[in-house]
Amino acid sequence: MSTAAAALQLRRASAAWKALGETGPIGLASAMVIVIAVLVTIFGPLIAPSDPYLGQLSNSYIGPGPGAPLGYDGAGRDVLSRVLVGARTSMLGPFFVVVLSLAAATLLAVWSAWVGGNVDSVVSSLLNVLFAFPGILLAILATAVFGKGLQAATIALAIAYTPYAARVLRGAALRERSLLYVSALEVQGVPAWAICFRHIIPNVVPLILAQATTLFGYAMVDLAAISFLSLGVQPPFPDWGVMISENLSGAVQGFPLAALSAGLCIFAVVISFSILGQRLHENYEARR
Amino acid sequence: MRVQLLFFVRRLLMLAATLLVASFVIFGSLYLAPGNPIAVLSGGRSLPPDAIKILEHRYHLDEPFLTQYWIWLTNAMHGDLGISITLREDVSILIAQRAGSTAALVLYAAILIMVFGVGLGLLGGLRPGWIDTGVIVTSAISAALPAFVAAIVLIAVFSVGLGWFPSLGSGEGVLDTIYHDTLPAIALAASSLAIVARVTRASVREEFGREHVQTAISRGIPYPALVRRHVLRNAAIPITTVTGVTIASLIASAAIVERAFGLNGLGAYLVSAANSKDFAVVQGISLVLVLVFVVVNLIVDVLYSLIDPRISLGSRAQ
Amino acid sequence: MSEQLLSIRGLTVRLPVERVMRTVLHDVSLDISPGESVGLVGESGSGKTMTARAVGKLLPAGARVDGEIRFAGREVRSLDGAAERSFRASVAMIFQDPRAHINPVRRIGDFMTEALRTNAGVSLDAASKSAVGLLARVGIDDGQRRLHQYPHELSGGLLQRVMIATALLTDPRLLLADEPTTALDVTTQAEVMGILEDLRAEFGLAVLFITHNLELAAAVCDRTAVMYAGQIVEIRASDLLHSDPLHPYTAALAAARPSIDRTASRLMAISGRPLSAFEAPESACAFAARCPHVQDACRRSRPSLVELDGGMTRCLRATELRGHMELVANG
Repeated sequence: MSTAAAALQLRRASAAWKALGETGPIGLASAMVIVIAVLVTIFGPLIAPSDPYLGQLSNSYIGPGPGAPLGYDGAGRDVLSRVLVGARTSMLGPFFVVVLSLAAATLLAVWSAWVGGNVDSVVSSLLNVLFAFPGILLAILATAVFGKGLQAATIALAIAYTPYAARVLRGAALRERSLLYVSALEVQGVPAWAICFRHIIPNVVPLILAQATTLFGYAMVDLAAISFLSLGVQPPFPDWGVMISENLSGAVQGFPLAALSAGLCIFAVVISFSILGQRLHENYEARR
Repeated sequence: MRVQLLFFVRRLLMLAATLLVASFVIFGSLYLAPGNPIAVLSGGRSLPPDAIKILEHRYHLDEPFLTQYWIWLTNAMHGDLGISITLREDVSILIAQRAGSTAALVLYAAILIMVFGVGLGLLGGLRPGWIDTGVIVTSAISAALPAFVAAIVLIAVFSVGLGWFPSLGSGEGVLDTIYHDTLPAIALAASSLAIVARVTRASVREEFGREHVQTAISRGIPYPALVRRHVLRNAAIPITTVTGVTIASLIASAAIVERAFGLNGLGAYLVSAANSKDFAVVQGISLVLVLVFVVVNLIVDVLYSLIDPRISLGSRAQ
Repeated sequence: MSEQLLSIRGLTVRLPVERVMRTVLHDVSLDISPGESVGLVGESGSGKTMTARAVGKLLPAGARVDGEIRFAGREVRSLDGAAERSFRASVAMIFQDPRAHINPVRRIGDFMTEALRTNAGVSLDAASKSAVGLLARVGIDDGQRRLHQYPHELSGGLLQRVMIATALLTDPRLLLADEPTTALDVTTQAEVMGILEDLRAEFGLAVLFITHNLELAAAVCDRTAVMYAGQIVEIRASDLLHSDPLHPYTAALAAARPSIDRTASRLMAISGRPLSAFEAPESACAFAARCPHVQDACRRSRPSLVELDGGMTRCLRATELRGHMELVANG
């Protein structure tokens, strides 16, 4: 990478940091929540105060107390520890969904926007069909076919989300393609794949990031739902969706804290990602 | 008028094609699963040889793949969706028994979304100031509430805490069902309501700023008529689209709410069938859900073509 | 002297832009007599559209207005209820882009008859008949069929005629025309201008004709006002505008347009760029930075609009510069 390009990247990065600072208390709070969530994902098991799998039934649904700020769940296990450890699957699952679907969406969108014509029509029609499958439905179907667990659900959700991201990216790719510098490169004899990978895709990266952030929230909700339905992560692993399912009966009996704690984590992370995603989208629109 | 008819026919064909491909995928998943079809259909259970023979005959497993698909599809169109391996009954009968409960729930949630989603959006769009801010905040919060989290909150507050609503079960008779379905419907509607409210507010705001509204103001059209004829009528286009799409996707999310509140509907049945590996049931319900989704989209398209006289031969603007 | 139909005195308008109040119009004064056509000329940002909107009570929310706008003797801003509806019927406005200003999801007939039906209680039949009649006057003969069509089925030129016809349906006494021909192609422009002229003569309408085209205004209007940076800088009888301008800006505008009967080795341009109203200095002549005749006095205080030879001017040196305004120092 040339010095000029590196300097440009550096300037863009610092501009991004500055923008974050200017977003006000809500933006800052969202960023903080996300950072905490990421840290917990990495270090969760290390900072959990108690063993998340060990519980005494005599502690079932007892409220907050010394050593257990969030109380105990139905099986007498420490809720806080379970929440901290469960962050792994709750965060990594959506992460993979987003990575897979955006990779596929970017490739499909850029290719179809570049080639145009029949290829574009076919790809668009195929994606339109995919729209008829709500993510959850495809995930349930996938777990029925391929067995329970995160793998089937993750891939199914990635497939279900691809058309949404692809549609947005295709529009952006079409706009890029019509810009003059692309024609200039074509005339110089630069091969199509090089133009796409070295110029078009880097220019839509802000949009890709914005989409990724927004989709992360949806993926988290859908994956937690699948785990809630006992089709995803299996107990006793404290995935947040699993925790809600396990402690639902407790909530009905009047002890909602265990289920609510997991629910609150999901809520906080999803809302933070959605706020961040909105800001990133606005940023992209403003700089266009 | 001719243009509208052509548009409608074209959309109908596209949706039929979607249905065809979706059904192909649903059917084909039988072969995607690890193991041979018999193993999948039996859900890993060991069956006596004559039961296997019945399965082979019923599913025409000796025929080529496409023939099987064709037979399955035509059977489905006649209402024959196979047999449940766990309950030994026709899948279509089992679906029919539970469809009513899901339909009631989805309808209830749809009404909530339309009334409160559009209503709140209108309130925020037409009255700036603190009402608008309140609407934005409420929308943001409920948008992040997935149905099962909302369920917990609702149960904790309204069922256990205040005792206003029951937390589980369906209830008997119409009024009792409505009573039981209230919390589930709210949980189901919560996140979709937020999206509808947001789009409504944005469309109303946008329409208000349009030049043709200035023209109407300059001619002294009174405010109520102005809002009705020039703002709402025009904003109805994107609002209808988003409401329709949201309601169509309710069907899948109903599964979660039914599970959380112990309702015996199609969604809960789909999940338990997936859990117990009752493949024919999973296929049957998936097909029904996709069909409903497609039909709702078709209705949205019809409404759209009635509202907007400008539509051309392409698909509707999203 | 008959009462002025429209009388604007010292109109100053400020708008909130990103939470700061900015001046968009300063000390605008203008009169229009019944049946008179007055042109309002200026570049983008000069405030001409804003003036029309102030008269038509179409200013955005949060606008601060000082000064007087009187229509038929009554202050426009204090009108409401029935009096305001009557005012709106008497003052009609036509806009630059007809396609954006007509509701696309309603039929033409709906658009044309709405004001009559809603405000004057006229029946649909009667209103439609009037509409067809006026459509014929603007050159659309198959009016009955057109009433059932949607805006997207008509061309821009046809839509502008519909807009003009609609404006006349309420029997107005003043027409505010905001660049009615700018969005049209040249041939259609000429047709529409012709229609406007005929109708003006026939109905005895007063017209405020807004345009950026000095020649066009001078050709069709009795008097022309020139605006710069949110202020009126000159008002003059149109036939004197070119031969005896009272402000250097007007002279520069006129000279900047290449003419077919002269050969020029270089195109005349005014150096610098036009100022918007909120960029105009508080205590200097707004044109000082670009004026070839500028002197110290021009930079010391903001000149007011004064009468001169039947017109008005905001140039301190107008009297001495008359006759040789076009001799620009930097060619």
